[in-house]
Amino acid sequence: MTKNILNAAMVLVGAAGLLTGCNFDQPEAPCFVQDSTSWAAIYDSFDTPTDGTGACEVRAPPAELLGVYKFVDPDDLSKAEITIRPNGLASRASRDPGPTTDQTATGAFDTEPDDKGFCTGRNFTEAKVVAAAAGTNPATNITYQFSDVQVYAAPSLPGTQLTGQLKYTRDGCTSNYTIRALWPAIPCFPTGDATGPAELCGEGSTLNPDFAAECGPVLGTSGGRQFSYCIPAKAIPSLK
Amino acid sequence: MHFNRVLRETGVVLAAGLLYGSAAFAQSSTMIGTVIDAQSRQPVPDVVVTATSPNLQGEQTVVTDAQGNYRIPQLPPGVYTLRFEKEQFKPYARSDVQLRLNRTIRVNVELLPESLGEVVEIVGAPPTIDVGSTTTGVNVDQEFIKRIAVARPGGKGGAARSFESLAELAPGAQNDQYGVSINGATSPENGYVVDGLSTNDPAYGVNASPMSIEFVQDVNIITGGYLPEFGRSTGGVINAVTRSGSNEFHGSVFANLTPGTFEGNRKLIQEEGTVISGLNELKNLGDFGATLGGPILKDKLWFFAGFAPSFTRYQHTRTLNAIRLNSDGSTAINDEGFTVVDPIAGSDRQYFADTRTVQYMGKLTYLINQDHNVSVALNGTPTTTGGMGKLSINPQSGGLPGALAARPGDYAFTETNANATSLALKYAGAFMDKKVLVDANLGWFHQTASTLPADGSKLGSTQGLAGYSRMTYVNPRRLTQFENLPAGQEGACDPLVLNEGTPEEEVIERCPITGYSVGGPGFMSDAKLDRYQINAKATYLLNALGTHVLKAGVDTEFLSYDQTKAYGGGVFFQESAPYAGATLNGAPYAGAALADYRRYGYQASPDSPITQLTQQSKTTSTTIGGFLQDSWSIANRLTLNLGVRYDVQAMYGGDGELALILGNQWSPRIGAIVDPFANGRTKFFVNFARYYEQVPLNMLDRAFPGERRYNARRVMAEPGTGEAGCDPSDRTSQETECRDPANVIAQPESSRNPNRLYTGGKVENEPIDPDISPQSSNELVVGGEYELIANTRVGASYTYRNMNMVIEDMSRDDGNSYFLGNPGSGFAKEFPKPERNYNNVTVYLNRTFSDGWLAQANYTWSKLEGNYPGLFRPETAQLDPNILSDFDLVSLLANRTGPLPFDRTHQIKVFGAKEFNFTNELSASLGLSYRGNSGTPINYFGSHALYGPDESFVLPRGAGGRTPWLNVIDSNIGVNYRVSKDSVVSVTLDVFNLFNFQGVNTVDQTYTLRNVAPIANGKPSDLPGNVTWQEGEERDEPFGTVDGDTNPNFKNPTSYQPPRQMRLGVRYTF
Repeated sequence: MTKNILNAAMVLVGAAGLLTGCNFDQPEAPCFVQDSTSWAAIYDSFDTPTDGTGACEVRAPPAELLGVYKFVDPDDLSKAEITIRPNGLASRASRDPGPTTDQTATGAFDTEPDDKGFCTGRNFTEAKVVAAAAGTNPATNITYQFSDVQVYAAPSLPGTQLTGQLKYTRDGCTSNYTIRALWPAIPCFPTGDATGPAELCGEGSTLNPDFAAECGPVLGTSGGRQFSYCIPAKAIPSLK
Repeated sequence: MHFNRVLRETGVVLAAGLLYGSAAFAQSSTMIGTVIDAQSRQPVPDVVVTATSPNLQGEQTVVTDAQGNYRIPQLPPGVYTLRFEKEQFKPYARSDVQLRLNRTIRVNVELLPESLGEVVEIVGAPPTIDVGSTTTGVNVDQEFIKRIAVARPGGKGGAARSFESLAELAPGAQNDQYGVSINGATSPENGYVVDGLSTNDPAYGVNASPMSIEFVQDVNIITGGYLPEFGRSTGGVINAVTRSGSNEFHGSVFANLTPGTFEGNRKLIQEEGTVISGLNELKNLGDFGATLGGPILKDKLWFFAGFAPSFTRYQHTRTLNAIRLNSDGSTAINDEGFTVVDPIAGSDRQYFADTRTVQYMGKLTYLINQDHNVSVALNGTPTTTGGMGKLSINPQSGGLPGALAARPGDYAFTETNANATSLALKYAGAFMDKKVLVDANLGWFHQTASTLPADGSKLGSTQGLAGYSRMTYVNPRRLTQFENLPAGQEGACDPLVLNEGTPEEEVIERCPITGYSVGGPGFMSDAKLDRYQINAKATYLLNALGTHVLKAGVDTEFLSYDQTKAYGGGVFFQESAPYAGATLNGAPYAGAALADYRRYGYQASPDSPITQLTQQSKTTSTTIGGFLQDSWSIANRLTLNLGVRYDVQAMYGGDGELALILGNQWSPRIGAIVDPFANGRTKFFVNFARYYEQVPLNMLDRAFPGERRYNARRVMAEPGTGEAGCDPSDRTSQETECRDPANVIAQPESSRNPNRLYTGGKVENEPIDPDISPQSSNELVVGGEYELIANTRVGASYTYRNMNMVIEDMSRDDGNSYFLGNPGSGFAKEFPKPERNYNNVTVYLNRTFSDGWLAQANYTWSKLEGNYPGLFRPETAQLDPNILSDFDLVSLLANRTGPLPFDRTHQIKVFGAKEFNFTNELSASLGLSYRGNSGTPINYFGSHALYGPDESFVLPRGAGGRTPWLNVIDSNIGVNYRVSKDSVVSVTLDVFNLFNFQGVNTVDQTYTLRNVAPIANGKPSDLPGNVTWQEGEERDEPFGTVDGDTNPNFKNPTSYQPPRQMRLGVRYTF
């Protein structure tokens, strides 16, 4: 009888060991992107603008909103696209008689994250606007060439931060930038008009509290106050 | 997560269920005891103890051990006779020992030596205290069901008199929208078990099998304190065992009817007058059937079979009304502050809302030998409601149709079917002189649930009703644009025109309608749900420092949910507005528009939609677990129950990939029972337990991956004008203009969305916090019980329950995107921690039926507070376990902590029945019940722009006081006439709500329909002055200054108790 008890106990302990030895990590998150028209991006300049012959003056806006969307084909999951439609082009699109798809840059997108947790978009089409003159705005020709756009896909903040390279050309003047962007775009008031941390990308602003974010450069005036958007404070991933 | 309530109203029938894993549910009971010599007071070994019962095949014989102890396990519930025999002792028999389901009772006996000359009468009645367990709850048997009015007609499964309705009898239990709430939990959290097999709906958690009480032998309603054999539920357990046959042929034929004409007068709810109104009346409700059980081979093979159809018929009257206007154009208001409407004569239309159920059951029990038996049971409950020209009753909640705000001919054309079939095989065996026991269960539970067009057209077809789209007009229009008025009343909806011909001309409508629908069926679905269960349990008896009953078990469960969904015609339209800055074919457009509100399909790149007429997904889950427990009895006085259960659940999404894995569900159960006098008449107990939830499949079906839908907006042609554009009120236009790409409105190019014409169409799995923990709750129970006189027990208990981790979906951007996690921890640490704290003190008296009477009384004081209701949202009846809208909206998280909707401070239940014997043939029985409940908390609700009404807590929970006390008295009168030795004819009359109390059941808690923000820690004195708007919903006029800001119906009753209803029954038993 003792032998029976021992046998039974061994079987049970063995089974329990088998179960507890199992790995219960959640499945790896895929290359997730938050589809939204409101990503807040800041452009870090690292060279001086040139027009092919010498220096020129025109630069990209310091920060702006981007529309970032991902598309998948459920019948062929190995194919995914990422599209970026920047505000600088969309706001002028109605002045361009060409097709509306000209203002959207499309690239091929990874289906699985790399070792560092980034999913990369490559081989982007060139997004441009050929805007005719309208009212007090002169005609202008702007091109965005994105490359190496990396979306951070770690499960703790899936698809909410991205970084990449931008070659910006306006009326012949070209400059290069590093992009750092986050979602959602939350308005903030950088020049001393903020009424509390919620309006300075802090507590209560509904940003993911793990984000290290700060209020970007002034982009305009709203309700009598100069406003901007919360942008990443550090390189991507920008975390506290 | 929130899915628009339109889906619910168009009759989504998905039996919801918490996956309830039944680990070898104890379907049997045990008798233990000690035999001593009456003279020397010494234990007597080697006494032959024999147990017999009409419910037991053959007899069970054991022998007392050296300490005089005996144990007879694996006994079916019933009334037993125990015989004790040994040479040199006078044989002793004790009869009428009532053994309930899943109980251990102790019968100690003193044997008289043969040599003793005098005859000593030992008078004593068998005890009823369950000394083996710390469980709280009640047991209900056929005697109770026959003598007390149970299974109130109406409500969920009312006509079928389902076993689930008995759960409400337990102390601390109350009805909720989808079943019965036990110990503060919601009904999908309970486990429902029939014959060892779970009958929970794999997708939603509620009970999917309304099995009739006619087929049931015994029902245990366990409210807490249970051992690790029972797991995977955070509510209570409703455990039923079906009848089994016996050595003689017995059966019954019965019929019951609840006629609508005998209903008491219903108090009419005063409410705002509307142009289209609906009134429901019970026509009749009833069931009939037969059962038969008996031997195929005496003491070897028994059978039991039953058949019980039931039906419910309500009549719905749809009436058109015109608003009464004063001569100055203002609306006439009555004394209660409501708009007055006048019915339009001759506009009544009547429809039936029917439900038809057929229940069947068959069972074979085979005794291989004294130590081994098997049984096979099959039961099914196919149910149909609706049909061509008929309305549907919601099978999940029993809800009746509301006012039909749709064009006649464009409703009452779907049929909803629900069927739950289960096949169970059970084996029970004993080895080594009953020292090792093995119980194994193998079962298959198959459920179908569908809402389909009643003309037989298939989902995805372009013909018939399945190809006909539905449209809802949102803006106010005149009723006569869609419907004709009866002859002689054509002018009833003519508007009142003031200041005609002048610049101040005003047109005031008498029959404005909003939210009016036309077209075919909206949402339709066809679902198959399966559960395969295999479990086994071994029990080993060991004598070492007392008696150990060691149990170990293994339990596996495979679930699947295969659902095909479709909208009529592939799309559900809704009136909308053009995008800001919209263009049509290049030119600006600002005219009327409608949206493809719901359309299945996807886009692989911008503006290239692929329409899917149906969407199908199959999600599965596998749960594996096991348990170990030891019931250690020391000196027959102290029993320690120590056990642990372990489960792991792996869930696979619609793409077949692993979506979520919930492991390490260690569930300890520790308890102690003290029987101070070692005689089975007193006990004190304490128990600590942790319970885990098994996540239902609905969450996977909706979010892993989510529904692939895309959207478009189109030019809308006003119905009946013939203008250009899409006019869904005309089927031809649905097939031509509504599909024409030239009618699609474009977003302005300044939008940063890469799509111009078609938005959406991409879906990925919901992100999950990598540190997600399974959902669980803790419980502590302390109590005592004492047997006052034979068969009568009194007791008291204290229960405490709270939540550990909760799995819920949350949003950081007010509903645009969601993620799954544990609020308050891990990824979601800034969200409030979900809490649900429950305290309950119960005192009770319980007498089972014997000597002609029974009595049961209990009083419960309880407190239920927190911010998490459970697996459905009581305020809106949203049944989406683990993806409720409670944690979705960051802007509305304030004020959610307080008394929860099912918090009732006092609950009293009293039941009594007495039998009167007039002659040998004629007897009667009278039963009475009283239930008294104090009220539930009243909240102040506001709306949310995206989610709709009742989502914002303007003031903290419960700030509005409580609803009043509710009392109800039910009675049962039965007259029985014995026709021959074994057959009896009975006539019964159950009167529910004998005095037609019309107490207030629910009140209107919508303080406002405007999108207002919560006032953190506000008080009623803060209203309306301190009310602020939700971000983005600001308005120039302060809140409270515009007509309609506050709901004039706030705190007024929205429902009363059901009126007096009578159920007549006739039964022939043989």
